[in-house]
Amino acid sequence: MMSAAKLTLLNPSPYARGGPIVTPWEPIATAGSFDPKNVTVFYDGRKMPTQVDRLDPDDPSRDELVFSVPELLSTSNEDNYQTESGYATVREGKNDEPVQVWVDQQYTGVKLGNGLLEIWINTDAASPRPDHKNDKWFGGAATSVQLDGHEILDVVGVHGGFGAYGHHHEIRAMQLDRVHLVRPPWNEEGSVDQKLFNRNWRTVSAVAGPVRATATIASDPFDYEYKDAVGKELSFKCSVYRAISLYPGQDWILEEVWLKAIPGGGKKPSLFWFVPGYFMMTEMSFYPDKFRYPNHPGWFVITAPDEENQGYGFATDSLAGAIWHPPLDYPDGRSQHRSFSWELGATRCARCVHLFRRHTNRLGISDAIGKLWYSQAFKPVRAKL
Amino acid sequence: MVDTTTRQDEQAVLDPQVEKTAEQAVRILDIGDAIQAMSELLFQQIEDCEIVAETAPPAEQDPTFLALTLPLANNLIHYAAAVWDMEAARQWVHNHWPQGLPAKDPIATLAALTLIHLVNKGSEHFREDAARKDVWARIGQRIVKLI
Repeated sequence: MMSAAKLTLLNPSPYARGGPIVTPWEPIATAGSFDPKNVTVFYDGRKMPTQVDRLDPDDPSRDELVFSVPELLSTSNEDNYQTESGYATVREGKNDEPVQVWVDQQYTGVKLGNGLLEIWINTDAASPRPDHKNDKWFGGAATSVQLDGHEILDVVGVHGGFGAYGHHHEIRAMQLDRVHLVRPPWNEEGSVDQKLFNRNWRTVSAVAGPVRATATIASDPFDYEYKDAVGKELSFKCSVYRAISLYPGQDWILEEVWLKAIPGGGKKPSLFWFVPGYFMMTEMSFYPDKFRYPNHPGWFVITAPDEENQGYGFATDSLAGAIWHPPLDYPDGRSQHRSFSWELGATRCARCVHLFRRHTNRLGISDAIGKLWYSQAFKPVRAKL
Repeated sequence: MVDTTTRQDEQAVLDPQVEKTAEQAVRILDIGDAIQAMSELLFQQIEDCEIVAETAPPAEQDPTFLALTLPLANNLIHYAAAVWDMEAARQWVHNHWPQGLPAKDPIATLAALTLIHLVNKGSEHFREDAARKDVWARIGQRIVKLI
């Protein structure tokens, strides 16, 4: 039995960095014998805010150790995770750091907040508004994003006090509305788009600790079949999982997305390659400003040049595709100027950042999301045993 | 922007041509149904703006009122109009005023015309309302000065 586990910290950037570090818990738990509710990471002899998150109760391999370090890591010029930047130690011990984030699981969704940003993730396919209960296309969407107490998804509606709830009934963001699955080339059925917006999701985990609050939601299972190389039909029950995290004092949300496929008659899940597609319906004026570098698929921003200059930034480690504005299959012409969609590249687990900001402009929010792309998606500080 | 106003019985009255132009703008924007559906709310918000304006020094009351109500009209357009109606309305502004300020900032022009339309509707609505018709008469006078 180990009473401590040594972690090597890897900062691939040529400048000092700190902040939250996320690493798989299972190898550490296997190496030692820790109670995940009673561990603390020590760095430089001091206790760091620490928590162990169970993202999927049915899959311990998804458990994550999350801790935060100050900006003390030494630097590397190699940029490839080869240089050891520091060490930390996992030990048994109660972590009594204050919790500044919270998560509130309810029957039709889950709310995350940190005092600055508060989001409601609607797990029910039906609209959260009683006057639009028959609109069943809100599954897995953030139907409210409040920044500093202001609903940011519909600035004009809120300012005008329009509508029964002070904002447009269709607004939503961060909706993973479909996934694209590609069958092997010998399978004549080809690829398939699986819609998720009209399905119920469920909250499988909701945890809050000193480093972050995380809610994991999973789509209702859907069937997927393909033929293997010898022509044998294989069938799976698939669910898309999203672990959505909010950190103290931040106006951005980090999420990990994966697709879990359970073979028919089996129990051991597989992770499939898939293409996630996002949808957003938000007021960004009639003529939103969309910006990205032509040769950089890691992030983009959308800003409203004439309405409080609010903006949205998206970053991912899985290549963000073109922004469709409106999406080609968007059905409502009157609100199409508020609708946006984009797909990611094929991935087995995508790490994505959603940034919401007011009183910004293209340059300001681009700077912010570019840094987040680097620090949270592309080259996060890592820890390994 | 368009023709000036006439005065009638000590009360400023908009030129009918201006009213007609404002109605036309609202029709092209296709926000008439939204105005109808939210009329009570919109009228109340305009009255609230008037209450705030009255707290300003006399010389600043009109600009205060307009500073508060023009964004309201602008918000309404953004909330209720479709993008193709907005495009049609911008084109209409360009055609209607091929030269001059309105064509340089069609959205501001459309907001002003929408506000004029809202105030006309409010004035009509409260014409028989003893408690509120005076308020709307004052609002009407402020709008006349916008032209």
